[in-house]
Amino acid sequence: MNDLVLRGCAGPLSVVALVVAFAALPALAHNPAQPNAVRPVPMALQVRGKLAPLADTTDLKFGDFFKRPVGPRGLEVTPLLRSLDGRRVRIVGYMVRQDSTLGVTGLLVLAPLPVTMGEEDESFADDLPASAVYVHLAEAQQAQRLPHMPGLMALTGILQIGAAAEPDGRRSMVRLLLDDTVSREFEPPASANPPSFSVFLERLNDPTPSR
Amino acid sequence: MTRPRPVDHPLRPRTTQALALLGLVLAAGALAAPTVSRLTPPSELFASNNPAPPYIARFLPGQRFDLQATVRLDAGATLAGFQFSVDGIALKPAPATTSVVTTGLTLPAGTNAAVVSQRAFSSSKPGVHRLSLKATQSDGQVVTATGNFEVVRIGSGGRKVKNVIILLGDGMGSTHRTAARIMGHGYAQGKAGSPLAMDTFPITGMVMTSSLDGIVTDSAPGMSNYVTGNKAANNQEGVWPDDTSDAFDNPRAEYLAEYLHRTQGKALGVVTTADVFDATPASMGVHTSNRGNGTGIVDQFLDDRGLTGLAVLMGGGRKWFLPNTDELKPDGARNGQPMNGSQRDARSDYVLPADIVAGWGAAKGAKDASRDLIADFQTAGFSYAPDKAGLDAAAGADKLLGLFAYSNMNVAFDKIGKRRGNSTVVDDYGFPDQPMLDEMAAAALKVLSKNKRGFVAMIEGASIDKQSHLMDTDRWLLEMLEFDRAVQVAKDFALKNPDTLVIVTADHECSGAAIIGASTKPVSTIQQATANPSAATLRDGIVGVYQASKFPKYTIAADGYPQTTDVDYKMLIGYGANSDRYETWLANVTPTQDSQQPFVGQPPLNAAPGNPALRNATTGFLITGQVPGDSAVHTATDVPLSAMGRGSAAFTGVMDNTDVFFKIGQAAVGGVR
Repeated sequence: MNDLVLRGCAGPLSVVALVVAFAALPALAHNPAQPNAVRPVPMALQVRGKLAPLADTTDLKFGDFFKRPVGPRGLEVTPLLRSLDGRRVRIVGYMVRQDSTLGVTGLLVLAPLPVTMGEEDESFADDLPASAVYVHLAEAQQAQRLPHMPGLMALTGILQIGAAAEPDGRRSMVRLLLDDTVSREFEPPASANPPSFSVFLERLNDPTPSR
Repeated sequence: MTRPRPVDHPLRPRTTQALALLGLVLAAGALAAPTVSRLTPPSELFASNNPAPPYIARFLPGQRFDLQATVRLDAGATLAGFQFSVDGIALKPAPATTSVVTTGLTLPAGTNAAVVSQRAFSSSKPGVHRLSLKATQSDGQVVTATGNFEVVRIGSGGRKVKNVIILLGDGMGSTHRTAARIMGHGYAQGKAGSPLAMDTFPITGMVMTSSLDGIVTDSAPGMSNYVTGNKAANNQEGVWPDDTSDAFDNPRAEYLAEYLHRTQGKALGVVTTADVFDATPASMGVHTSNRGNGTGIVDQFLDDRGLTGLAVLMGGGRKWFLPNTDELKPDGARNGQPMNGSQRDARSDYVLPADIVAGWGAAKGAKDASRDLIADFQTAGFSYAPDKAGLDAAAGADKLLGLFAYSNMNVAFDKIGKRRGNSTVVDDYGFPDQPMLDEMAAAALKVLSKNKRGFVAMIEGASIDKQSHLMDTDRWLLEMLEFDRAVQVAKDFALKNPDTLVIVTADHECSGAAIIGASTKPVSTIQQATANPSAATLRDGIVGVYQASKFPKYTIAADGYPQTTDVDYKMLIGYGANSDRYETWLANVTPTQDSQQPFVGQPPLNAAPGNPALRNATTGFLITGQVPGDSAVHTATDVPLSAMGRGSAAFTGVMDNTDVFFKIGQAAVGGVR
């Protein structure tokens, strides 16, 4: 054991703290939905230029959701959106950043622009656009907690419209039930394994401020 | 309450200290006793054993407020009873107005505690009073705690103010006012061509804006403190903090509108360019510890109109009033309710505990996301105006609900652009026919003046703050001009109705805005510089300070707004509370994206900048922020206050924001000579 690890610690207690911290490390590494956890958009879902059409799939834009101008009794769904209820669609958008749903699995929210939902300040009156889509992962990935993935992503699945309660406590208007093949892309990459104890000690000894 | 004093220890080896600490902990466990960790209303007598002024909690005679305490109990013990006393006299609460809450607390896990309350207490005896709590634990141990509060003496014999109009420029500091004067009225040889409407008010003071829990307030206590006379914590409206998780059960302080409706029958009008659930409008009549609880906030506006006298509610925020009922049934069918963009949600809704209902006479509430609140307002006698045409049509209404946008209303820069036919922003937002704030103010005062017993009105220029957060200089400048036109409407009303008190002020300053000078170059040169943006081209080559700033000239059109804000040698604004931003000094053609708008991120709005750290990233020079995040922040700087009308003479000097409440109280309750 080296000097840096012991700096500022009071003898045996520091060893206990170290062991406890290391014991917690696997959990940290396996739970990517820690606050500020970020992962790139899976390669297969990234958007680079114009997307090629998909068979039996309609490309749906957020701009297709509601009529303009807004009526005195609220937003009105376009005939196009209504007609796609229960149909396979592809939507391009940004994953909403939300630290508040750490306990929620198998779910992400897609929006037409990068936004953050926060529990502080305006909490439930957060920045979620009315056209936000609740994206449900397939059954096999329902236990998956997702880290934030910045950048555009193209998601394909079955569209479902109408208000419904969501596991995060909010109500959704539009949902996308992901295709199995798309949903599998959200499984964690193999590199998410925890570091070894020796690597852990090396990191503790690393004087760079980024640690 | 006797509070433990810190004990000085000689320096010891760390392990010995740890052992000593362990011993203390063990000893404390052996000698466990109940304690009181919070006593409300807050006082320095309880917090620091300091009985001297300033008194944190102050009230008008007869103004109602809740008494509450958090009693920490020993492990395994329960609360046997509690008793509040004032000046040594045990209070006798009305039936059903007390409560003991032991679950749903926000205290650390394993804490055994009881939150005890007595609702809607009041005292009419002026002076400083000692508030005491005596709580008895199940094993017979007794704990006491003492705080204080003041009932402010109100002089009598003068003529009472009938109407109170508060014009609230959200985030409006001295810079905002001065800059609006320069743009809207022009300067020559050091003198303003003419004053702002608010400049013409005869009385001026300065206001300290801090909240209960910080020198920098947000808009919730920023407004609430003016109209309760008490300090609220950030994010909280008309309440004090507590230790329960329910955002609607916090101990309350009676609002000005509630007090004057209960005692004098005055009506309440709330007018804003923000979403009506926003912190400033909500802080006129809604009690909650979470300013984000939109569903419950708008419900309380209607449900408790019997407490506040609400007769006018205008602004944006239609999304909270729409029924959210298109439930997906277990069989996969739906009930046919069209998807309407409703943001109503049980999590942000309210149900009040029985002691608040009994003590305050408040509506119990319900978790009713499916409520059609527009229809309920109409049933209660309100005319509903969804746009400017609807507002004009509702001119003769007795009560008025105006919801002109889905979320916050568009700003003056873009509303005027639409009226001039050179901007489609409001069309793109989906609300092409939105009124200006002065038009809303005029309509509101017309409705409110029908109440023979007078009214309390709050008229807010909300996006002075919102555009200052975004450091969109040209947009907040037009917000200021729009707000000042509303001030003129209120002034004209007061001149015709001399029993009216008009106050113009802000809840806080926003962005640390400063008029740093003016461009030394014509706009065309600035535009050329944006092709090669750098501090050398856009700062060193453009910014003129001191006499180089000269006197920027803006041409004001017949509608009262500048023909363009991009004039040659234009005024330049810097920000002292800024996040990272790219500065070009030029007006942004489109507003920064507001994610709460229904068509955000969609063409053509998707071409608009997402935040100041992205806006003009290829055309402006980077100004590194002094605060984290992607927008400028509020500051603790004092804000100016202007007053006119009956009772206005009292609003001079430097005052706390809670002082404003008592000056209004003197004018409305005791009268002025």
